Amino acid sequence: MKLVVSVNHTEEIRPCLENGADEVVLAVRGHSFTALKKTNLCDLPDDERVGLLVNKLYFPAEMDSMHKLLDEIENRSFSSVYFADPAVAAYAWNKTLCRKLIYRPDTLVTSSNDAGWWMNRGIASVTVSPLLTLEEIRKITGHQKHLELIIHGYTLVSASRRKLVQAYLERNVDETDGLAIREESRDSHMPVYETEEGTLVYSDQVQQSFAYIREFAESRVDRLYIEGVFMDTEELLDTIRLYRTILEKDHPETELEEYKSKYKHRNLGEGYYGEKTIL
Amino acid sequence: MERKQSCRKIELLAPAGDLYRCKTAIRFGADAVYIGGQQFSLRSRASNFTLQDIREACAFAREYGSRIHVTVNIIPHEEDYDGLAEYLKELEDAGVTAIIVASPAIMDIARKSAPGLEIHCSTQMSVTNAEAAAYLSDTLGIDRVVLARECTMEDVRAITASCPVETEAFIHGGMCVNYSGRCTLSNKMTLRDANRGGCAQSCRWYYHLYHNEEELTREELFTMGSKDLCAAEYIYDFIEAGVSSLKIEGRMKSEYYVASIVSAYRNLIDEIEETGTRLGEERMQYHLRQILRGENRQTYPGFYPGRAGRESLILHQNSDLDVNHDFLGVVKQYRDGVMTLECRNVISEQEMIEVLAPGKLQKEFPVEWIRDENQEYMSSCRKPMTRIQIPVPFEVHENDIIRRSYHDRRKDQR
Repeated sequence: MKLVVSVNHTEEIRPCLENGADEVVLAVRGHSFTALKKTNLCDLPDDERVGLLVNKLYFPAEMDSMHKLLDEIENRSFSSVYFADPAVAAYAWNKTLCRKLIYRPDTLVTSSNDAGWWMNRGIASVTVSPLLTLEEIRKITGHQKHLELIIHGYTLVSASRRKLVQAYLERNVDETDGLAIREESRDSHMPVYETEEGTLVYSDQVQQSFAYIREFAESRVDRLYIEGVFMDTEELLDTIRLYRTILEKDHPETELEEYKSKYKHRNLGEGYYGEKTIL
Repeated sequence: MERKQSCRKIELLAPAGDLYRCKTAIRFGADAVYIGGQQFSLRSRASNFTLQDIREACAFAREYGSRIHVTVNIIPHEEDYDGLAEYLKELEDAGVTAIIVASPAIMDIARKSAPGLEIHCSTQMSVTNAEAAAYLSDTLGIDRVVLARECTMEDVRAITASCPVETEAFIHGGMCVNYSGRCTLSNKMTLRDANRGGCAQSCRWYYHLYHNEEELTREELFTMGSKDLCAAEYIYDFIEAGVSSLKIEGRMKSEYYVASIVSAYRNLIDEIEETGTRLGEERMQYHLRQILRGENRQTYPGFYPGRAGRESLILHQNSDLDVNHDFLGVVKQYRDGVMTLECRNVISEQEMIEVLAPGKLQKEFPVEWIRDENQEYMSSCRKPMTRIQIPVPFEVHENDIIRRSYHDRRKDQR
């Protein structure tokens, strides 16, 4: 089982690995749709512990660029490539790259049958939707090996191809960091990020899995993913260290309390683990 | 990639929330109707079709040379597969032409358990290029792909030109502001799962907008609601591009919406196909007026002219600025120059009304008198669902729709 973390900058790769991460994921500029900072492929080090986020949906005019990127990745040494567009799997078919692909369609994998269908395409893993209850996760991971679970961080709530904030304000949005929305009858803020690809809204709550991480690690899950969106390096390292401690130490109560106290300003919660969404 | 040839003319694909609306759509010119069963479908509240209803819909469609597609487009959880294979087999036996699916696992099960069903890849899978479609065709044997609503007309042309399966594009109705299938705003705000038919449309709610501590919200709060799609001006382009099917959204919509929108697009498509050319401005404006008579929300042409911006959003509190009360009723009977009408909106003596009948030009006439079923005369009827009688100067038929005349409506608005 790997502890995987996404980061904003290449400078964070080494500290994350040194503090307990097994793999570090960065977003590739022009090919990812995320609030993570983007990096050019040429600026990324060849490292079998570095994964790439290539999760945008490609439109016809962008296909050549996608092919070129995947050809470059094929010739270099990275551990994994996250994708959302089936065209990526199509292009990688019969290439070494195929065995490094991780299907990450945000919400579309909620059953072991769908996860299994993708795994049968010869890819490395599938990220399960963060909308599942603990019971559902147990069932899926019981039926399907090698999956990935997102265990920590702000989860994506919606992705639009429209620049919604820019449209509302009638001006370019330069302050891509620090934007948030609050529903008029509620108190909590949901981070918003506007990029050339469109607008992303993230959850007001930071998903945490402190109580379940050992159970996940002992199941047939391959990868546990910490989403580094909106985290600075210090918080990222504290988070990695805490999960590593929980995994390796029988009584991590002290470290857990210290973390919760230090990050009490974060709205830490258990996401949908205990709350089943219904019709 | 070898393109699958289709000998069909472009298909007008209409929505229906129940059997009555399904028959209405077919009568008014839909080549195919998509419906939802009581299981495995999004828009669960719009899915009133029992298997018996589906059989009846298929039989009715056959009479008109039309087809029935059934949505099986949930993103399934573990428990959602119970009874699926049997259900798909039942759909096949009922005479359903195609199922609309968003899950590879369901597609796989359908291919094995009901091989006679066409598989149409739902827009929930956000297919935005031909290579993705080809992959799904190669691996799952899909027959058609419903393109993501984020595609421009240039994208539609490029995808359709190199796509090994048929393409289907939305032309009218509600638009998700977010990529379909990838939005959990409803789950977040209400615990209602958008991917299993429970979308609460939280994108249309109102939000305060901040940059760090500073509130950026203006007089009107921030909202993400999209205007409805109306791509009437692109029908010629879709036909020219080789798109196989033009889809109207709206399984929750009324019988009037279904009748008026389907009828208007039917006439538009037929005129373009008959003339073989792009319509002139005057004819296009005429068809647009007819289409928009069934619409209660503001519209825009989607991403087809290019990437949608501010003009595509409803940025004010009242999204239904153009609510109309044109729909006056449904004809229940016609005898000796008098129709019995089941009322839907206020109708008064002397106002001009018109008949919306399948395949016929609309005819106007004034309301000379109104009487109730007890033969009592009245100056107006204000109670929906009341049955009234009105003289008609020409023959009408059961299920024809009566609406306020376009000219009278304009007079009211002045």
